[in-house]
Amino acid sequence: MVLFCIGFVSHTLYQLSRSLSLGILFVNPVFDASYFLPWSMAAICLGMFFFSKEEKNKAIIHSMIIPIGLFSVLGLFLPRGIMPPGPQHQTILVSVYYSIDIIAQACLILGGWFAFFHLKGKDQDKLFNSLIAAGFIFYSISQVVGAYWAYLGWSLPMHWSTKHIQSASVWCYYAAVLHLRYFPTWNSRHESWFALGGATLLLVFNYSAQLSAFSFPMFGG
Amino acid sequence: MVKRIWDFCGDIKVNFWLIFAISLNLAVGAYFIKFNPTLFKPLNHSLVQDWFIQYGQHRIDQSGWLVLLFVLAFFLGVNTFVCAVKRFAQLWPQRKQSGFRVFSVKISPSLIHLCFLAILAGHFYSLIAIYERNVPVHLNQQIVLPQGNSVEVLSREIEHYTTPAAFEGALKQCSVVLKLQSPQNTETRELRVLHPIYWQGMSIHLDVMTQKNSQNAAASPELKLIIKKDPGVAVVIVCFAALCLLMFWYFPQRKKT
Repeated sequence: MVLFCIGFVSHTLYQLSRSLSLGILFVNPVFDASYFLPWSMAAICLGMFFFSKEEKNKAIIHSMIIPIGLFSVLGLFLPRGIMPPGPQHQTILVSVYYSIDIIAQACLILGGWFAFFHLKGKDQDKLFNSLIAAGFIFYSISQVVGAYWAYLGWSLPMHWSTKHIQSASVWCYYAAVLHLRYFPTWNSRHESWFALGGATLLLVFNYSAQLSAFSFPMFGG
Repeated sequence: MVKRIWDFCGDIKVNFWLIFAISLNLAVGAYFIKFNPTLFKPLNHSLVQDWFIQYGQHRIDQSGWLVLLFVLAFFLGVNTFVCAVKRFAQLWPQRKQSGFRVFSVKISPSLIHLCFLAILAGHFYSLIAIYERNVPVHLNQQIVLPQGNSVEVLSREIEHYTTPAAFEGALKQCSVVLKLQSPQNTETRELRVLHPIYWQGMSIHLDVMTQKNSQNAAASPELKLIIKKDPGVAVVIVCFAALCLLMFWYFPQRKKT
């Protein structure tokens, strides 16, 4: 855990350095999904580790290092440059939207991870449900912020574009998952399968669009 | 018979499968949009019925998911309304026994559902009843609008980055000065990207078209005025914000009660 904390602090410093790398304070690059997603997952992991009172949950929380490591490594293969913000990106709403959206994604992906452990009989407290509820709330907030930004910038709160329709699909999917608890004949295992399905849907949508940006990292000249 | 229909419409299982079907439908639709952007792009700036007559009906294999989406959304709206009303009717008589806090927690899902209904209605109203004009910006051009209103472009200004060095020359901000004339008065106002003007029940937006992934290539970007009357948009954004606030309050409280 000490190593994990050192890694988290290093990652935080790296995120901050991205905002200062041009010699001025510029926050947009901090919230690039490639780097902010693993950071958010790590922050959630630390929060759960320090606030979890149940000893039996600690093992699952420790296992979160696997998805965090995986997404951190993935960040190396999906490098993001720092682009000048155009006229439609000259607003704080950009940072607010991306930050909340990525925190939501982190909750939903980790919800899938915990659901996997629930299926294996380990997450008996059904922590995946709390993560999904939190993720859904954050995702909804990001959608409303995004809708307001899109309205100001393009006059439309929702475009008929792949990204917007995929977001609506994910939102509806998790809205459906949250209704599962009211089925008398369905149990938490069904919810777990749906939570895993949601995380898969999110990853397919996110990474299918980024395949063209995939490249091997280069070090030095 | 009526009671059976009412119960079916308010069934939580029907609700779940409808939302799930909409999610899958949207997932499929997203890929139709991805591979046919020219077919769906005009939908962003036209009434859905006009788009369907002009484009959609000729490519029903590509637009069929959209028809299905409207059908499913209609049934989801009916189902959500019945669910909310049934729960309201069930909880309202208990409000005094349960106390304000418990009652407010219990009633929150119904309020969330009503917000969702308003969002659906607002979106639908925007799709079928919006007024929109898209006009490329040309200096001294007069744009005639309904009810004796008109807009004239007096000047335009393009701002580029000078600092930091890495951004130098890239497009930063665009603005135009407009003369707004109505039968009652005339006024001059500045319009910037992201800062629409609200005037005579309309909103006027400035849109800028740059070449994708090339900010530097946009030395002389094409500007466009979007003039629209969209009464649904305020309902969508306000109700979505209210829905978020209600959920933010409801989910932590649910565990305590």
